[in-house]
Amino acid sequence: MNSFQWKVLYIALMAALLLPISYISRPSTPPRKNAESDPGGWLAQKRAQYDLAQANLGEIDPASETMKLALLGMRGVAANILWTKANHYKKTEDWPKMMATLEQITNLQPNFISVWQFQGWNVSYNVSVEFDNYLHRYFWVKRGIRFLIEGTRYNRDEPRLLWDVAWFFGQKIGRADEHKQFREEFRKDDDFHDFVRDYVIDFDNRSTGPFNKPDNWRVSHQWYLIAQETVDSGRATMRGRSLQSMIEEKPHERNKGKSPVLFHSGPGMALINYSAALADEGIFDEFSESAWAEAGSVWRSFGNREIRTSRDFYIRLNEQEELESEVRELTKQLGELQPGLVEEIRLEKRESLSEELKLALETPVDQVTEDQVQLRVEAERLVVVSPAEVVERINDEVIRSKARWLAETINDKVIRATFVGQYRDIVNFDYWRTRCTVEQAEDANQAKKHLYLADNDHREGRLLQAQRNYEIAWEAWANIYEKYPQLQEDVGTEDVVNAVKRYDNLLGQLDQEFPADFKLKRVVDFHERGRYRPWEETGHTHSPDHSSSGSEGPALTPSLPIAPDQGAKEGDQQAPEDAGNESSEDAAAPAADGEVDSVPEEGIPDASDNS
Amino acid sequence: MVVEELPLPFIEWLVQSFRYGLAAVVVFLIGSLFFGYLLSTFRYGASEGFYLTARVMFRGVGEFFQISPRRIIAMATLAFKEAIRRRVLVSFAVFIAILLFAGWFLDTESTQPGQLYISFVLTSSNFLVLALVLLLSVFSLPTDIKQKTIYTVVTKPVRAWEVVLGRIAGFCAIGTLILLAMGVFSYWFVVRGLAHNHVVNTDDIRSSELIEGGLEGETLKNKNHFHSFPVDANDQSKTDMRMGHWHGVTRQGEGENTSYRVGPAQDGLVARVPQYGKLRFLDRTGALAEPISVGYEWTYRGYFEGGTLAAAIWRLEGITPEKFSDGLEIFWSISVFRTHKGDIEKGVSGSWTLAHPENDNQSPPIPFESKEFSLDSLYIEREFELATGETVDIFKEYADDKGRMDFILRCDDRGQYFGVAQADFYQHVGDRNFAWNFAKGYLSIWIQMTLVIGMGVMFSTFLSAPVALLATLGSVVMGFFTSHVKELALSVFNPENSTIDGGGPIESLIRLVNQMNVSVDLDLGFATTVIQALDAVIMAFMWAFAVMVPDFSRFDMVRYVAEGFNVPADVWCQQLVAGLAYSFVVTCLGYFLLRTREIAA
Repeated sequence: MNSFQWKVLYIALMAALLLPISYISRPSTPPRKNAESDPGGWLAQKRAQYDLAQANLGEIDPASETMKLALLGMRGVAANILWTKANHYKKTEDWPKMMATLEQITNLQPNFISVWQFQGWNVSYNVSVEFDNYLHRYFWVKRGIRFLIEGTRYNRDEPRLLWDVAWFFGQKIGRADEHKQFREEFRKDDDFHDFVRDYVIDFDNRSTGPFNKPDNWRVSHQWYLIAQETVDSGRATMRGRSLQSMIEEKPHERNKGKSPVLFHSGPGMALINYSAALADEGIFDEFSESAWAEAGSVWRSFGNREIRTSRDFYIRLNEQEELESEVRELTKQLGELQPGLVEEIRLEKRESLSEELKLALETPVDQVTEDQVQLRVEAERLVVVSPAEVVERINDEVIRSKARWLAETINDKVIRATFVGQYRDIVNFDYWRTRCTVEQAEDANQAKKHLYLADNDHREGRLLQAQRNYEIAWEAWANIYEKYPQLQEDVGTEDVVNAVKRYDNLLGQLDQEFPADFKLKRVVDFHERGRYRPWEETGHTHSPDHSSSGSEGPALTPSLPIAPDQGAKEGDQQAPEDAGNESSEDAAAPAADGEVDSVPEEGIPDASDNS
Repeated sequence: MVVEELPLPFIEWLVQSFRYGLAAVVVFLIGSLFFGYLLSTFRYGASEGFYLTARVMFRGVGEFFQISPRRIIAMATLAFKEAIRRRVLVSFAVFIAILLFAGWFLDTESTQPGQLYISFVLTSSNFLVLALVLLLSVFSLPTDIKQKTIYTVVTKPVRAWEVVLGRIAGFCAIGTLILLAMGVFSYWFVVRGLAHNHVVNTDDIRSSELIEGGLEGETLKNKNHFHSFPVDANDQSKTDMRMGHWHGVTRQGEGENTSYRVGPAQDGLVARVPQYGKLRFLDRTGALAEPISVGYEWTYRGYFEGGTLAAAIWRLEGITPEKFSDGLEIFWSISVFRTHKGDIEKGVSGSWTLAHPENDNQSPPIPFESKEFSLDSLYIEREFELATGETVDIFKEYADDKGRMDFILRCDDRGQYFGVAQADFYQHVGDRNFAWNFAKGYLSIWIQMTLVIGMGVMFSTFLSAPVALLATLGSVVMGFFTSHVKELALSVFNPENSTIDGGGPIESLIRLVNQMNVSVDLDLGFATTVIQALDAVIMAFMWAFAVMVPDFSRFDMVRYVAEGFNVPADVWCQQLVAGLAYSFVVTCLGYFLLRTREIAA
């Protein structure tokens, strides 16, 4: 073929390729008079099915669209170069250029959620700390948040971004080292309020805290609600919006993304943190009590919310007690179907144990040797009678059928209760529930208020007044520990012990003996393991002033020390203060993100054979 | 401003470069002659080839001295007209369009809008003009040769020198005109874009404990920022520095009729002239030492410990009363590294001490509080009173006969660190005209433009247009990355001391395909040896190429202009001379290549 013929062939082939392309990308047409609607080609249908059209995702930015078109398909290359440049500018501390580059990246990839998340974090967390002046740091924290909020404009109803905005407002402003200064700056930052006002409904009423000024935790709460609403309304899943329909098609993908229990704990935790922050800032009485009441109510609602588990059934965190009581009742009914059978099986099992195990089981608890501890645990596990074993031993067909039904029901409820327990542990549900209740009590208010006042008086040299306030505080703390004795063992109580040391120091300054009938002896003893007992020593050397060793004076009012729920496993006894913060939530996240499939057997009748 | 290496004085640079440049030219000429001889030999045989090469060389030298400016102007006019015919002015229209829509792409919240605007206009002009002259220069000669219109020229008494030079001159002329127009519009864009004013609402005047006189005012927000200013007994005051500028504030009226008028932005567009000193560090015992690394990846700044004898000392020269009759104005910018929180609401304390370089005379420390990532300044009066009541003249007390003076920076907080680099401290000599500085930014683009035109014309003398385009583009791209390519080549040649991981092109490709981390050894046994050997050969060619092409990244004055520093004469003279030298070499090469082509024809 000559050159002309080749050219004709090429053109014909190109034209031939155009036909299928134009067929699959035919646009859809809405219904009109005298004409039916046309769903369009395959591409148009998929776009509609997955809400992938640009206009469905969020605002359309002309600059972004121009850049994308002008790059003629080289967007990926350009984005890569810009990422490298942004990293370079960060390394060389050229912040204006870094921000300009980030803007360009988001212009190129406005619907790539990870870009917004990653770079928002980068600016708020990594760039801000490079600055020495806390005002500059606040400026960059704010820039990161603004950046994320910009992201929500281009990605409407994207819960991942909305949740992150809430997290940044709460955690970055409210928990940074400079949280006192940041919270104060945020309160008076009218410009920023104007910016946020456009996004938050009724910002001026629902986001305000003390002094009738916006509070970062309450603003955070509002953003959590917005994120929650997009999921509750069905417009998006927690995994994100744009891939929602695809995930629905692939059930195994559903559990990816943020854990539902963490996702929905956000609003409650924001209000709890808000209430706790008030005490740190010396705001007590009705204001503080009503804040805790609101937080408690939101936390209870969270407990009533249906949460999808990794096994695809729904639980409510509040239902654990109810489930446990039902299991007890059903187990009792199962035992009554053939009286004495359970005991008989247990005895048989006991007899079948090896001599070593038997001995470990029969030895009184206080005489168990170190070697026997494990054996005893093993023996106890082996003599547990499962409902399935009971069912197997019933000979009467009618009774057996009823027993089987009971066993299956018990099994279901046990699995549910186990899941509820595990999900509760992830968010320290019991701890926060109890704390919300305790903090509303008058004693708690008195305890914290007077400790706060005492520290202030001590710092400012009003020693006698400080002593009086300390003594009122000890009285109130003693009442709290009497009502909630389990609190004495909690790590949060260390703050109280530190306050006792400051009190000891104050008495030294006043040349007074430490009272021999001090009411918090048990608490101090538990935490100091007997190494510090000022009430025993006459003329003892008073404790050095721990408050003056730090640059910031006495620690502020300690949080109420409450132990995590009694059912929590060993190792879960993390600092309850942290239960809602980054570290504990992050630590909990893998468990929640991954599969929570294993059901512990301890203390629960094994019903697996019946499933 | 980050200055990795302070520029050498022009004369010193010239002497150093001359030797290197001369050697390079000699090697290049010999190489070119050899290459020309090889080509001729291949086509016409050894003796005929030698004869032709010698003739071309001698004739070339002879013709060079017979160049007629009149004919060059005629050729340049032709090239100019040709460029106009090719609608080069469209690029100018594109530039205007870019300026019109720039607001869409520029970060309105930038803390340094001046830098952003200036970098934007200079960078976009740079790339547009380079792309334009690239296309213009490579298509001209090949099209003439292809369409045989070149015969209408070569049949006239025009020498090859004049053909090459004429084209370069013509394209340079049109490029210069476009650059001029772009420069004027860019200047207007920057000045207009940054111009703004603020209004003061008298309700925003409130009492302040920090200010003498007791009142502090705040302007209303404009262009994403506002300013605070002190209200004292004077009618004139200055706002604080925000987004790289400040405003003058004038109080008018009395009592209830008081109003405040805010003047235009100041210092947003400046060309400061700094005088840098030589930096050395002392360790905690007061002995000369290397600075401490606090673990940052970027090692530009060295750190020293606070609350000890550690210090950073700059020695400045030429600090004489004749130059600075009233006193000294020093500027600095420091990085702070805290090892403990300290007082969050306060900066880290530091101090400046003036010291005589030869005796123990030291001024009392002048304290300051650190401000990171911003320029801080201090005006030191020529005469000041010591605690003893004695008045001292800083030039007599702390400077030696040669005008040398030491400036000692100390960090006063124990456990905290200051980090500094040589260019982080300077004595402010004065300000130059911003417009002229802006023009210098365009001068660097002009130098790059002449280089691209030279290379484009040179390649187009012996290559077809598309190939010449690729060759020139390749050279320009390489020109922007020469230092990286050289470093990469050295890493490939000497893997033991490599500074860039990942190996040469083949190894990188294998790593890319296999998604291998650069830090993992390529463990393919004998194949690894072969791959690395091949990579070394490829990189040797790349290295040679990188050495030959001009380093475009050095022709950069944008940083100076954008960051508000005067482009020193040393820098722009060096760039101009280097650019012209390269252009000259490229023109010579173009001439001989064109001659070779004639020989071949």
